[in-house]
Amino acid sequence: MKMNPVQNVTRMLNWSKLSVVAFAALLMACDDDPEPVNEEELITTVQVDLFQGDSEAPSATLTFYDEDGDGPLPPSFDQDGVIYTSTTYSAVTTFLNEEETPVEDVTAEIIEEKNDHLICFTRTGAVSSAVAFDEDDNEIPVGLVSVWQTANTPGAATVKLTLKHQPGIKTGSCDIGDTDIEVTFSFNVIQQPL
Amino acid sequence: MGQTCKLEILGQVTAGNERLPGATIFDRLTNKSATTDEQGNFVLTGLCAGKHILEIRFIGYKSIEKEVIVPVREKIKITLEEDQTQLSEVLVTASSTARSSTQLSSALEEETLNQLHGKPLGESLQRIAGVGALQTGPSIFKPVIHGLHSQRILILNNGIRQEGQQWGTEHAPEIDPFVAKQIEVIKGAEAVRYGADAMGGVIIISPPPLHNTGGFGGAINTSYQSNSRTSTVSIATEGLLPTPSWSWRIQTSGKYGGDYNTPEYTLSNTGQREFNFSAGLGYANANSELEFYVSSFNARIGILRAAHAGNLQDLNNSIISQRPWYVKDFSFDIQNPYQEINHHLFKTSYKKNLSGNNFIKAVYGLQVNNRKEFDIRRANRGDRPAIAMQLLSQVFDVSLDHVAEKHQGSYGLTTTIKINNNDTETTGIKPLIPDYRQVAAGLFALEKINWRAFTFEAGARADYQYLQALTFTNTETLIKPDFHFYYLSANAGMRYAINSQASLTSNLSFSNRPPHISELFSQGLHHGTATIEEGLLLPNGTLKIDESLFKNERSIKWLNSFAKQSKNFSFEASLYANLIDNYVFLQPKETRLTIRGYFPVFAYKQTQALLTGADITLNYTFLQNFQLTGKYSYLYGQDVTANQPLIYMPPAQMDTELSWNIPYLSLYKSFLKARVLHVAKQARTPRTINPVDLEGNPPPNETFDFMDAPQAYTLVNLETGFTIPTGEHDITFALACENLTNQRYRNYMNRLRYFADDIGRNFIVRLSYNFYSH
Repeated sequence: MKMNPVQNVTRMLNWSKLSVVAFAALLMACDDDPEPVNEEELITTVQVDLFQGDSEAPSATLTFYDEDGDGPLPPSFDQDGVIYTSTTYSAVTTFLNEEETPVEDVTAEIIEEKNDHLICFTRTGAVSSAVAFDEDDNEIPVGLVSVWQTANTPGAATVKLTLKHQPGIKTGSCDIGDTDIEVTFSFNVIQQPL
Repeated sequence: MGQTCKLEILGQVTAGNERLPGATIFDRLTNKSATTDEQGNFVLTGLCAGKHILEIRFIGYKSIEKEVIVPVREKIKITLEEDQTQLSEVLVTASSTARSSTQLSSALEEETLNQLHGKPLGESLQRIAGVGALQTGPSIFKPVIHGLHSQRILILNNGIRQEGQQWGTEHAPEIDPFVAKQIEVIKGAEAVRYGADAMGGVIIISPPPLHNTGGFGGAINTSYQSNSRTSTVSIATEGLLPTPSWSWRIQTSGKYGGDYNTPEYTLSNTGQREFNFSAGLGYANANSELEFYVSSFNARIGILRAAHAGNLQDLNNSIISQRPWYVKDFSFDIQNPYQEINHHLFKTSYKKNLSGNNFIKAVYGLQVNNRKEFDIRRANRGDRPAIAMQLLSQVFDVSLDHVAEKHQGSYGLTTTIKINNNDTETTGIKPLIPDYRQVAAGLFALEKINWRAFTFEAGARADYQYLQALTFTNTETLIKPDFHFYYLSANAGMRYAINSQASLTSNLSFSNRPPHISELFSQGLHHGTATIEEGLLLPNGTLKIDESLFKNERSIKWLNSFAKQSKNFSFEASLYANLIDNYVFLQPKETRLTIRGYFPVFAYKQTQALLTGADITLNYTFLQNFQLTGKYSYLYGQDVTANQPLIYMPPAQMDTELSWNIPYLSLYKSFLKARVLHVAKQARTPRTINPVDLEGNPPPNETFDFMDAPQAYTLVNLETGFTIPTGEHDITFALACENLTNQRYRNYMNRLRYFADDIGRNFIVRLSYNFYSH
């Protein structure tokens, strides 16, 4: 059978493609498949529990949840309970990695490295102050426990929580280091019932 | 002084069987010169007794140096070899048939390279007009040729295509510049000979030939620079084996340096370490050559501590602040973040002359590239890399070349196999690019014809590439999408020798490039600019395997140059235009809220791009001992579809150097040089948006930058040096001062410009000892 040049070239191409793929297959046969990555450093959740007085149960909980880190899935905010005016709250911040089973409490890592971490709070609206309460070994604030004072008049409020990683350079300033977490909670402060 | 010298040297210059009239003979010691007459004869008069070194130059021939002890009894004979890279007669030597002769190329020769010892490869290449660098701090330089870089530039290291992680903007070529005797840059698209990676140009790094005949010899080069307190040492020795026709070379180099400093502050954590090694073994007889070569490049490079932006707010703070937020006293320590790179190469090549003027050449190369990037991490994870990749590649090329007086050509096959693996078990972080397997093969043919004053050439190439990615879907299921790419490239060119001193060259090349794995699959956060990058296959942030999401990049480059060379003056001007269809680039897509705050998402997009510009190089010798060299380049880069400037295009640059070969000292090669480099402000940039203005707002549907282009700047450099010949050896000493005025500046092409100034005044001392016995 006679072939025209185009058929010839096509056949050659097919042949070369086949041989290349066969060669590649041979080469890759001995290769392991990659395993899915266990992103152990991921923080999926920031949770702030607001306690009133000596109460053992939080009167309100603010949660930010983003399951995929830098990925495209949008994060979600959640508020449980109400926040009242003219109240001093003890705020306890917890960081979780909910992609791990069981859920990993990343706060432990922060506590262990408290001399290198700083949580800063920036407030607007009906929260009149939010300041770190706890201190590290060098008597510089950490911010895992903070004190939030609500205003006397009800209204909208925001508290921006920033976790700075400052290995070896921590001074108490929030302008240095790398931002590991930056979450802004928006909520309403409601009139304290009489 | 006062001593009268009346001795002379008589000689004759020939080439082949012809006598060469008009050749220049230059005595480097006295700076006296002579020109050959019609019979090729010359006479140098008024010389003192002793050793003289003559430099013999003629257009179209390789310049040579000859040592002469005066008085000489007989007429000395000098034979010049024709040089294909020079103008006038185009006679192509055997080694260069495979290359285009109508492409524009420039080279850094041994002498220039000696003055650049201790500099990274990419920084040295900036001495060539039209070649710039995309920088990440003071020691990471990626070469940019006519506006193109990364996977659009091919580096040929000792005949082997360099296979590293070229895609990353902060990944510099993994090559020790000390191995090079010559570095040549081809500025045209050489895709026909070298494949799609050569779309933007080729950088050819050539070690000295292994086939030495002179026996044992070597060189020791050392340098120290005050800024960063970096010491560099390189030792090379070569010799012959007792068995006939075999020769060897061993070379090693090391570098140790600490933090660089700007005029006002330390660039903390910019130190570096390097340890490199290479060895070659060669066999040559009249008909064949065989070579073995191994090299190992190992570097640890600190990244400016403050250039790590956790989110848009961090980036904004850095841009507003005049100083980086982390400045400490000078230190040699390298802490996180830093890069650790190892690149190992094994190469073997064989060349055999066949009957007639044909020869066959086969080259095999095996490369292992390990790249680890260490980041600032929590809970003692700092000693675990955040990125750990290993690229294993093999290349095998065969070519059949023929050289005749009227025509030369090359036919060949090139093959590449690459395996890239991420060590995510160690990193615990999703990789920026997935594991992949790639097999590529290309067939090419190139032919050149000499006809009267013309040389015509044409070439074509067909490529096939198989790419398989090993990646995960959102639900952590392993998928192995694969792709078959078929693509063609072609090239046609012409050179016209107007007369013996001037020539005109024109080259039109068409090349085709399938998107790189990084352009298809990239996914992740880049801390240098606080941006999330997403590949062409992630249209909505999630992986979608669909071949209609991308097209091959297609470039048509037209390069024209005019060159003129006379006794005292040489001039080369080139004009080029490169129109690229489906040009892959990063465009802002959205602002994404994550737990770390807001990040802009840049998605790979394809557009039509135009890169056009001009380079001028001139050289003027006057008053015998003065030389003025000028290199000027301008580039216009435009996104044609969006009708806006392309980002990160090198600004216009004027590099002028005045050198004086000091004739009065009884020192060999003594010189004083002043170099003034003026870099204009890049006026053609996309608009500027402050990082914080993006928080909560979508980005505009166009490219933007986070900071205005820096102001223009002028740097003054001074250098002086001399050589002391001592018998068969010589010692060269040089002292240089870079950025003499301690100018504060930022460079548009440096990614660290968002965070810090560029480096301040720098004194460099170089000392080298040559013990070449031939």
